[in-house]
Amino acid sequence: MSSTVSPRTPTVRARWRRPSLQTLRQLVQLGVVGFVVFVAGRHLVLGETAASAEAFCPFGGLETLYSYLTGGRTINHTHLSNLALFLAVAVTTIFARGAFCGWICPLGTIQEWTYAFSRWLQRRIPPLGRAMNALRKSLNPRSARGSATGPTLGQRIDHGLSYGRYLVLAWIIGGTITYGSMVFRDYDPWSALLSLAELQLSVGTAVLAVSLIASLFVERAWCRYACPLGATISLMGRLSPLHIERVESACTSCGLCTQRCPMGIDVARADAITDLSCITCLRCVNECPRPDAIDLRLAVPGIHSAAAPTPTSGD
Amino acid sequence: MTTQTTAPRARGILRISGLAYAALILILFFGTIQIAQYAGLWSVSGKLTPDGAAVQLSGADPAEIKGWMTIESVVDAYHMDKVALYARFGIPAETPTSAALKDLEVVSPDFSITALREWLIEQAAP
Ligand code: SF4
Repeated sequence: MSSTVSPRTPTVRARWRRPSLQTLRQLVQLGVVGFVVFVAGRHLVLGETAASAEAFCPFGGLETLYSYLTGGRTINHTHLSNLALFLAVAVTTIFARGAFCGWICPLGTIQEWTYAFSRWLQRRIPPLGRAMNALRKSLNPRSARGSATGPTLGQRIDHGLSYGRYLVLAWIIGGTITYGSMVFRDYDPWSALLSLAELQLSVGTAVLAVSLIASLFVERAWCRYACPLGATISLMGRLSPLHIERVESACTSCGLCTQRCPMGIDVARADAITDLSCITCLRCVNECPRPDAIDLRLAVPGIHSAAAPTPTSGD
Repeated sequence: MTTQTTAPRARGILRISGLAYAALILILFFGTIQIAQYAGLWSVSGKLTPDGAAVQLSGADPAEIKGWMTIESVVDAYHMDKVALYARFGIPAETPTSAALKDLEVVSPDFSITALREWLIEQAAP
């Protein structure tokens, strides 16, 4: 493991890569949020004659897929646009892994903004900053790992909750097939956010509030623990030939990649990031001070190479 | 499901630049939507067909009934007696036939779109 470059002194290439790609990602996210605000605003002003923002939700496509395939029609509150968007998410995921979550999903973007606001507050309120540092340390997959103490309480809770989104997905699929209606709609934080513009409150409003409050403490809390679309994308993403790879020989083990990962993945201990929750935001790539230590790579899933180092056990 | 951070995989054969990846995402996502639109798999309203024509009830399948449809459209499509419909669901007589079905749930606790569909299926049964 060579360590000729300090983690604090990024090379010219790393310095160039860091702002440009993340700025581009944020611009794409901003464009999508802007489009949704425009559609929701138009629907509010023009009423039923304009499309509702719900018509642009890809998860509605998954909910209506069964009904469409078996009966040729969409369930209430969904349209062909929902199906087309779900298809677009599926195609993107099969080729580009979790890109929808990391680059396009507006709910993910809003959670990133919420967490950025929390970081801003933490810099201005020192006691809050100290408390949040302790929480981050407890959740950081590198803290206390491999020591006699085992995982921290935060890591255990984080791990347990990470199964939540698969349970939510199973409940929605089962419920939609059984009842033929959108069982999740009343609890959907995205639908609730769109309804807020029309001053409608529902259980989903409470789910949205809890998710955003949780995002002040844990980045992308809804994505990590409850998002059914994220769970679907994670499962489909297994087919993708793209993944993040870390080259152990070039890595200084500074741990910046793990620290910056919004999904709490222990990037610094992995060779290939095959974690189902990776949203391919490329923050770990951008944050790395060694340009050759971590990259996005195309590989044939399942084919082993003699050149590949024996994977380290991250857990 | 989130703990599997390592796996014995091949060292990637090709490094993908961030810029190329961003372009790939945009092409895949928006390209698929574009293709779906060309293929006619696009409609943002249940009130319009993919060709932009207004959706009409055929009268053959109660599952077609949606909340935004009016009492009048259902009565016409299923050739039913308005009085019988009002009596079955306890809809106040003064409710106009131009009222949307979804609004009936407020004035008549017995009414729901599902109940209406089931009732229409019963009526059609020999
Ligand atoms: S592993 Fe890297 S690309 Fe994946 S979510 Fe974490 S920071 Fe983003």
